[in-house]
Amino acid sequence: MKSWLRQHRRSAGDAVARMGAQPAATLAAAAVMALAVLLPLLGSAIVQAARQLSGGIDRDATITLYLAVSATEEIARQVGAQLKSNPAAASVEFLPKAKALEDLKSRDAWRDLLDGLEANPLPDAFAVRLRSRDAGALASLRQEWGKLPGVERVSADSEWVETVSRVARFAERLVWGAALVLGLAVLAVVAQLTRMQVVMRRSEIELSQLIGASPTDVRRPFLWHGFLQGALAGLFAWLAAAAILLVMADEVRALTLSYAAEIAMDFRMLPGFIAVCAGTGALGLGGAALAVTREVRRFGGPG
Amino acid sequence: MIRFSGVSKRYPNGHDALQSVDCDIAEGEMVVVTGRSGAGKSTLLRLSAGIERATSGSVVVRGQNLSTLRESALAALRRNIGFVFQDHRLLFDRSVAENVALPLRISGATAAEEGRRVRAALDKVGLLARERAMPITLSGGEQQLACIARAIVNRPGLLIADEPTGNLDAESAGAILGIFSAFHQVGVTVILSAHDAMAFGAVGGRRIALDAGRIVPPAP
Repeated sequence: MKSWLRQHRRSAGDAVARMGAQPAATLAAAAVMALAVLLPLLGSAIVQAARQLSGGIDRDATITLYLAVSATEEIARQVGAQLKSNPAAASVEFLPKAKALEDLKSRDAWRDLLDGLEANPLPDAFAVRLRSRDAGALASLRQEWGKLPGVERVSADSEWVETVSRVARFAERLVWGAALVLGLAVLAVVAQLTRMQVVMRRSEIELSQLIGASPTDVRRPFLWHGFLQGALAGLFAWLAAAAILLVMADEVRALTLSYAAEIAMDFRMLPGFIAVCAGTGALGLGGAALAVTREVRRFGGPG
Repeated sequence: MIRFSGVSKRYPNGHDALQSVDCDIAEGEMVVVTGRSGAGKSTLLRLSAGIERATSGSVVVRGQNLSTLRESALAALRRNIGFVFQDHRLLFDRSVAENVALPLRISGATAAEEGRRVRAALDKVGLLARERAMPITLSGGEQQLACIARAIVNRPGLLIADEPTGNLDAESAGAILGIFSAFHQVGVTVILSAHDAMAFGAVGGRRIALDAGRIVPPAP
């Protein structure tokens, strides 16, 4: 066991020394791989932001009916009765125009403007919370209630939230697809790096095999190199993604505030630092394993 | 220790290097394999060390049939055999000491043990003063000594050398044969090969003569 650990420690040390001996090549390779990892990392943060946005807003299906400004109290009463008798409605709230005007006047920005008006320009309205979030049912009710006498306009407030949610789901699939493709790119870069190293160290590998190195002994230093190179790329990608999110944070916050939501974009929206480094390290390990196995087989070892 | 039973070796190019070879080499024995170039000496040595596998027949080393061993077991066997290559096979980007340490690195020795055993091996072949030298700065004889030091650093019970004195002057060749004799005298099984049997008169031991891949009676 001690010997096994010692050999791993030595191989890891050997890999670090080789990376340190060629810093420019090591950093350039890590930067190329980091670019490939950066895209899905940022994508995952954006998907998470979209989920926050759609998840933080009232997701219940709600339809608001605005009556004509000239609609009488009797018409409002009749519309209210019809809505309450509809089994699709979970609750019906009447929003009288006088209260709506008061609410608006309570906001500083609107007060001066509304004080100057002679009559209330706002209509009575009904907010109807639906039992179902089914898009088909929503559309059908919009159409049906739009034909009620005195109703001027019908809007489905939750529709855009659903749209954001659908876009987030679609984007998430895109991110996974991109992660898969770009993960393969990382694998290919490490495989090519490892292949070059194996070719450069061919005489050492052949000699080691002749004097007793097993296939595992031959592969070990290259696997460590691949793992460390991949993990370094993960580190660069994570730091770059965190920096980009930091720069974007104020803009995103301002944008989402205008939709009555708040999203604070920062590094916490990224997958965990250790998970990213371990993931890219595993990709590097896989690329190195493929390359070293294939190349050493091409040499044709002893036996 | 080593038993060849009906061993033949055919290379992918169709060349029959060995044909139905039967021979035994006992523990602690000194054997000199002789024959002209292409007689099959190197193949016999490489089969004994598990570097190559026989096409047919069986090679049994210390009770292990090499034809049936898995690659990892064969590698473990090779770690316990010291092999001196005809072309030295030194790594020219490493110092003499690092070259000699290579088998110890493979077997997972500690750094302290590695340093101690490398110096002991270099001392045994008289190359301790050149431990930090690069192989390119060594003479042909010194390169061969470095190769021998690498072969003995793991203290193997079987030492195999493929034409260890080829291209060396008489004085260097004599010194190298003296080293193999010394190992034989302390109980190590030694197998050497040479196309010039006369050069090995000093070391004694049993001779196995090969001709066109077959064992033949040694020339007087």
